[in-house]
Amino acid sequence: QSFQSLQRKRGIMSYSHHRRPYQHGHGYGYGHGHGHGHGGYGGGGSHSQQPQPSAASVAAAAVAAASAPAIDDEDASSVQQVVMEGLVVLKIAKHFHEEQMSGNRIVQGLLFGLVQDTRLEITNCFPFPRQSDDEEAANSGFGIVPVAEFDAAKYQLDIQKNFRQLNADYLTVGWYQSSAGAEFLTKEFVESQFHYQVGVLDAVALVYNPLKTSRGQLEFRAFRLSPALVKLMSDEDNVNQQRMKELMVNQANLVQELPVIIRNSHLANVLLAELEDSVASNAFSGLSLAMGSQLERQMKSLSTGCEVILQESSKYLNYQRSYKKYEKALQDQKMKIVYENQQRAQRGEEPLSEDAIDKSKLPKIGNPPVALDPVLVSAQLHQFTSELLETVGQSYGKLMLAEGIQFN
Amino acid sequence: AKVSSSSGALQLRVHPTVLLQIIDFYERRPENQLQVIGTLLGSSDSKGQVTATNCFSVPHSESEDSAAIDIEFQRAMFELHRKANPGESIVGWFSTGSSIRAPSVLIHDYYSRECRRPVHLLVNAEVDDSRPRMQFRAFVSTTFGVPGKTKGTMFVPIELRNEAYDDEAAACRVMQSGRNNIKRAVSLLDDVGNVRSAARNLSRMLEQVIAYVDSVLTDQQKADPQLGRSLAQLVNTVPKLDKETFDDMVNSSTKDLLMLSYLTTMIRTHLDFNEKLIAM
Repeated sequence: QSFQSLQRKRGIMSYSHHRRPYQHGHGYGYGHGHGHGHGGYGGGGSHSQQPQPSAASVAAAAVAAASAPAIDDEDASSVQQVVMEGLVVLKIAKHFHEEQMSGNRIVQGLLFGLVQDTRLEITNCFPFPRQSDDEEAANSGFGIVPVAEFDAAKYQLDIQKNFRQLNADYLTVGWYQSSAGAEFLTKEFVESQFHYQVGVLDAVALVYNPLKTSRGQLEFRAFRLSPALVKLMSDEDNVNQQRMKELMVNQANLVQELPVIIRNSHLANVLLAELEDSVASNAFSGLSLAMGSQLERQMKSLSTGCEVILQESSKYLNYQRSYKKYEKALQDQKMKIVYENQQRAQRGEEPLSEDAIDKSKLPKIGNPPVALDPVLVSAQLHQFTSELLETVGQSYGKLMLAEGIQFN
Repeated sequence: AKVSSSSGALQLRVHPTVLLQIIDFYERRPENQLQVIGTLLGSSDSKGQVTATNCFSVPHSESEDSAAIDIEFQRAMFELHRKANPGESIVGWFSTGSSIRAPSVLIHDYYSRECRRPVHLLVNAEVDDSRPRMQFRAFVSTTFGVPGKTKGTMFVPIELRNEAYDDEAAACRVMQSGRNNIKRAVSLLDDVGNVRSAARNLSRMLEQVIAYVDSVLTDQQKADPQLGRSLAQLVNTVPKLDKETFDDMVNSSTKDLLMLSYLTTMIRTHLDFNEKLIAM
């Protein structure tokens, strides 16, 4: 019986034209991992579409557990560190490289592994196919799956079935995504991670930064939503200012970053040693002093982000102003009624009820602005600033290096 | 090795992703199995060069003279992979082991039905003190024998090369440091850390070069003209700027960087401020 109440909706991917100009909108589908003794699965119920200009609809995952305990009871994940195998690193790098040939898309996929004490080990991964809303692209035969047809849940189950036969880990421990620099904190990102986290307590979102790889560094960062944010989002219709204040959700508290290390088995290390000479790469390409374009790009993202924040602020101010007007008008009407009632009492007539307030005379107010968005944007901007500061630090170091070489 | 034109495939280029996956499959093989086999995915061009970019293992069982593969599984996995990356097709198969065994012919036969001229990759991952290197070999099959009468299949070795995308190569290089770490852990450094480690590598290499030059000067080692020429080239590539120009350059760059960090910190403060205001 309880199964029926938890409807399983099809995973829908959508490519949203995000109103934030500097980010690629990309809805994600997902499935849920097989339970492996993780208590406290949240109930991933139905997801109502948010009133947003962009249509990023994300379907809910079904829950394997018979009952859906309340989110409040779940313990925070005990995972402190993420350990990746070299295999996953290479697969993700390769996936991105191959996708990149056909346009600069964000690539995503699933992560599989297991949880051991305080470590989340990622031992395998599998990419999602390219999806697009564009009918033409879908029929062009390049394997681009039309959004409406892609059943993410079934895809994931197929992979898990096959992995199980191969004795590979098949518990979904998260998902990965590539991102240009630090721009990954979009609404879709948070929503997707939310649904994964609800299904598997320890799920992480792994963000791969391919720009650094071209400079000879590797950047993988693991994130999960803070418990406060999970609590906030689990009660969807109530994502407003008040709750956010209660739960203390501010831009510093949205996501938690987990340290990532890469570990290879002994045999894999032997293999890497064998490959050391034949697979050569320029170890010093990262020392190039030409950081100009990099810094420019980051500054541009930063400035667009600031514009968005400005818009959000002004929206909020407008809303506040109109709300004040509304309140004042309401008060006036109430006073009038009280006065009326006094007069009526004098004349011995029935007092008017408050319902007699003529609602149509009150000024209109729009919907309150979505409270989570500005917080999200400012968190994203924070990421940008950190990234920029890092790059600045690096450039400075390189300058010092160059100076040392010149005068020695 | 030179191969007669009848077999066609001249060269197999394999990506590190494939090799790392094979090792992983080998480590995860079921208790009673000695070897693993699987499908190689990739592309081949008209000149006979085959590139393997991906692979997946296939459950199988083999005995002295027969072999059985889970064909359904192979097909299903291939479909999944094809959805993820339509550019990859079956180019052959791999197996671990020290030498080609009788059942390999049967498996190769199966793969000949899946693709034209499948390539067979043999990986010997049994490494111990007596055999410290891994062995990788690639083969194609060709028929031989008396025409019209007894025919047999022979595996002919072909050239095998390691190839990688830049991203893969960079990833491999970063992971090399895992060998020196007791916990075999490679921690990813942030930007400044990377500069530091690159600088350390550079200084180490320079030390080696300097040691060599010193030993040549003190007649401990013979001078190699080839090396000498590359050394001269090396010294010449450092751009020679006079102190003033260089100082100017450094100063203006530093000023830019300082401005950026100032702006960024200011934006950050604004953000925090904004947040506090909204929260009120």
